[in-house]
Amino acid sequence: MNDKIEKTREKKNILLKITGVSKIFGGVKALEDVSFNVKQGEILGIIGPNGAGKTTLVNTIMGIYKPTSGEIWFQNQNITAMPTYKITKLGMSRTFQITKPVRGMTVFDSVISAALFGNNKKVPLNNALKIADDILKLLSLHTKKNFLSTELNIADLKKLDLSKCLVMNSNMILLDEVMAGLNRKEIEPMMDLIKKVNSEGVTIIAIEHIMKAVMNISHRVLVLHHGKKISEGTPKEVSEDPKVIKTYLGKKYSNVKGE
Amino acid sequence: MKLFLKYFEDTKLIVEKHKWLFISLFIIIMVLFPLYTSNYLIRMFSSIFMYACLGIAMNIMLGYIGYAAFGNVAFFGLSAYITMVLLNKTNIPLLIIFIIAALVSAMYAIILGFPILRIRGHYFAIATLGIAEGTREVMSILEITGGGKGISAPILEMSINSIYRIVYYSFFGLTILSLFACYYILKKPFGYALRTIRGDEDVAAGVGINTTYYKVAAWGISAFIAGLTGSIFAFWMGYIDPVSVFDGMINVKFTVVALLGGLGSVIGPLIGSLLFELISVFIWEKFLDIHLAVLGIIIMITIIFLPRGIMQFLKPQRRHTK
Repeated sequence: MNDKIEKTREKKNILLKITGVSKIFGGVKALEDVSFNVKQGEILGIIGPNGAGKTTLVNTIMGIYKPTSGEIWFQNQNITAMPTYKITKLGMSRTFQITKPVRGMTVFDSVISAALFGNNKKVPLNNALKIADDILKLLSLHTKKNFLSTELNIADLKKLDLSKCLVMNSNMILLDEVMAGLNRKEIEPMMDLIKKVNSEGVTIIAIEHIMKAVMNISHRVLVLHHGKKISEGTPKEVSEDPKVIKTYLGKKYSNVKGE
Repeated sequence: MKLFLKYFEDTKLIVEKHKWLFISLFIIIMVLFPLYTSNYLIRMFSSIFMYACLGIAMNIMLGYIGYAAFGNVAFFGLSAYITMVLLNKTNIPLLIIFIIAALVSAMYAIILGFPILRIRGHYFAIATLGIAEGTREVMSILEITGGGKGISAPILEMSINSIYRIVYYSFFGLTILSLFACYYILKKPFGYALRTIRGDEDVAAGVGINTTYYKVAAWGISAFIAGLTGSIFAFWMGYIDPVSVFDGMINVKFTVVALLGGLGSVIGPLIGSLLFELISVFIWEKFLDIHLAVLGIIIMITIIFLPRGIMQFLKPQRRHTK
């Protein structure tokens, strides 16, 4: 009896549920039978060598690719192969690994556009202006709000992507290598920012190559290799997993850190 | 030179500051214009406003959402034919005929838009050209449209002067109304959606924009404007055939007008059209034998040196301040 209650509670807590997702491009198996759950309020780090299928996973979750098999459930709704804009309105958003500044639009305008359309309900233009202004201030981008988004440097572009996710009031944010291309000085504030966003109750999946950052911010880590999940657990467990050390981390991390 | 540039910049700022004054002045002058001039100039300005309208329709697609709708002449021609057929067969008032024809064109664009707006870039451009060709072929086969012989309007009991003035004011009114509509649209959420789609469709979908809906809606609006223009054109000419209303030159001309004025700016097509017509009249006078060649060279030079059109020149430079 008690077990059952525990189970339903766990079920309620699960925000994103991925079961047996595969994605095959011609002869390449980009994802093979990947299953995992993401609980409400956690930060899940996803790591793996180049070509492991991390970005494919994000694209499949966001509905840009249709999975060859498997199902994706978000907030107890089947979102497998739902159009991207609908998934976004349900409360899931993403940043791009290679940032895509909107050509010919200012920073402010592109955030307003996200605020207008990203929410489930219609947002009046005046509210959107205010929300966008607040978020830009929060990320200290407001000094550059009249810049064209193509004029920003890489750190600011990543912040711009993140601010779009924030104005959309997303429940869950998929960060696709949000720290790639940042220097050490820029990584620290970004980590703080991600933790801060998470502490507001936003669930985060962070794909990352920078081990220090992943191990620091994640509650759990998942390791992909050749499209397969090879390990999952707390940062400490994962960094001690012999398979992970062999395929990805190298010996240096075998007796390290985590929280 | 430096001083001149600074002076130029300042002038632009002044124009920008008082733009509503200049716009109302322009409207007043253009409203009063036909009262004091010859039919020749009225015809010329009718043509200018006609291409301005088509340029605006093109600008909505090419400038606002970045889809090269080269086949917009299909809606122009279709609407012209519907107007002619309705004028011949029914007694509906002229204005209502215009609106019916334009609405049918818009519906045509919306129905075609769902399959065709899924393709991007050059492929979309080619597909729209295909639509224009296809529509022309259908029009030259149907019996009701007079086939290849074309179709002429019933003779109206109106003096040539009043017909010219009706045409002039229709084109002028349509230009001004569509410019205001564009200005209004761009300020609204609809405009934000269009501009985000132009920037990147994946990003647009990623911020919750239903890209298909907005693209189809934009094409519908574009086709509506092109359609109304076609209707007025048919009424003006009094006789149309497949070759004259589905003319490839119309296509080229309104694309050039939109490019010349500056893609994505509201008033660009009007300025482009004014300039284009004035240049071509001048060239026609001076180089009658090779006027198309000279025109082509001017277009090439403009595109190479002013890729964002005349508006690039006329807009004050943006400053990075609040």
